[in-house]
Amino acid sequence: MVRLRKFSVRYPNFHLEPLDLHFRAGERIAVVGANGAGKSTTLKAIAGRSRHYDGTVEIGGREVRSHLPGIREEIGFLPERLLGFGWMSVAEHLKFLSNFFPTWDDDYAQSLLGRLELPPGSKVGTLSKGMAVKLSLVGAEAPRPPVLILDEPTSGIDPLMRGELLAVIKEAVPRGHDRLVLFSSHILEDVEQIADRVVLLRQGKLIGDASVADLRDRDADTPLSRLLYSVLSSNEPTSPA
Amino acid sequence: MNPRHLRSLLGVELRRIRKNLLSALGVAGVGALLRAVGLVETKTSVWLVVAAAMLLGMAVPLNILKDKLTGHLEFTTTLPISSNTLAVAAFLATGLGLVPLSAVATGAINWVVLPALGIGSGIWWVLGTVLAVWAVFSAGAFLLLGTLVRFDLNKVGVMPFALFLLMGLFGDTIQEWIAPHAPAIVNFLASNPALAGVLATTALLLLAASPFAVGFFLIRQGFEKYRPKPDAIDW
Repeated sequence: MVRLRKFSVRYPNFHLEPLDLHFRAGERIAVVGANGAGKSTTLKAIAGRSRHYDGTVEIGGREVRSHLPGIREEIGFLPERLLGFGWMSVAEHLKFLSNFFPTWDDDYAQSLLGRLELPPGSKVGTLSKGMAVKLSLVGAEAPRPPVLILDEPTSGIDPLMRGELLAVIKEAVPRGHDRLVLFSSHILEDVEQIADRVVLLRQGKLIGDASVADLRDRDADTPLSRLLYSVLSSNEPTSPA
Repeated sequence: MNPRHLRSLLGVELRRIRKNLLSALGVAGVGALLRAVGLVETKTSVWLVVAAAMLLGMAVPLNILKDKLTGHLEFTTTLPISSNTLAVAAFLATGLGLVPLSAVATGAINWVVLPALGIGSGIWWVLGTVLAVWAVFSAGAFLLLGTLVRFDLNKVGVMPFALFLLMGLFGDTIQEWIAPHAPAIVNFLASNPALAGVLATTALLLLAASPFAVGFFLIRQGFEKYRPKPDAIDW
């Protein structure tokens, strides 16, 4: 479904080494790494938010850059920072977005709003960080896009809200679904809850790509988060999925 | 271009200038009231109305500039729509925002300037001036908006200086190059009135259309190439 071929990025102070990755429909993939590892850069390119890279990024066999902006209709993207007009209410924000996504499901959007306890009348500009992430999630998920990309969805959010968000993500895209979920995080407990495959990045290098099942098989007694931490903090590569 | 997309974007821009419209109406109303009770002269109240209309006329470009500075332009530029749609919406909204200012200017031209010059006024004069005035204001606003959206604001500040410098360097050279040929060109055009008419019409059309074309191109390019800066001010 999503394929990166020799995908690399070179900024003055950052270099992401060439990545060759293939993400299939039905997978829930965590892109894990510390700040500056290249997680957001990779996800933004897949989401059609960046054109500044070498190599190719394909969704369904189509190169993302050459199919912009239309291909964005098929990608739900939750950015690190809520994008929107602060003066709009939550309901107006979603109504505005709905005009641009042909597959937007209004009933589904309403049910997500209710599930996440987002007041439709609140102004977007006054939402707390947690509420803003919730609204971003509703906006990204309401069209039920084939590819859902979540950039640090739980960063800076209190544990209760984190739990709610993770539950909604799991409910929205259950295992075996025909959609692809890609999310980045440096909170390893979240990865343990949602992902069934983990891509590990460190300072712009791919240091691991393994299924959660494989990782668990290696050491059934150790929590996944601890296993991931040990991989991230060592130089030992992890086998591909 | 999907009309639904255009309507939504235009709707947002027009909603954003509602407050400016109310403020402008308020200022104009205060001006009229002060004149009515004799506290200010007609000239002062007219200037208040002009200021109010200018406030409204610049609202759309300033809102888009604010989006650029705060990084919020990323919201619309990452929607699944082309930069052309975004530029057309900005274009239309700016044009609509300038209607009150054009109306005020038309009033001033038809009821103050033309009578003073001894030129008769009438419905065709009114229609002609409203169109011409709107075109001039819009052309200026589109060029300004395009420049502000497309270029780094630091570079925009240098532009007038650079233009001034270029004119100083090459203005005389161009004048010296044209001057010796001017009589020959005039003679040629005088002996070919049909060609002169075509050339003059073309030149006028180009002159009138170029600010719109350049403005649209810059606005479209600005949206296309927009990248939020990490140090964007978050208002």
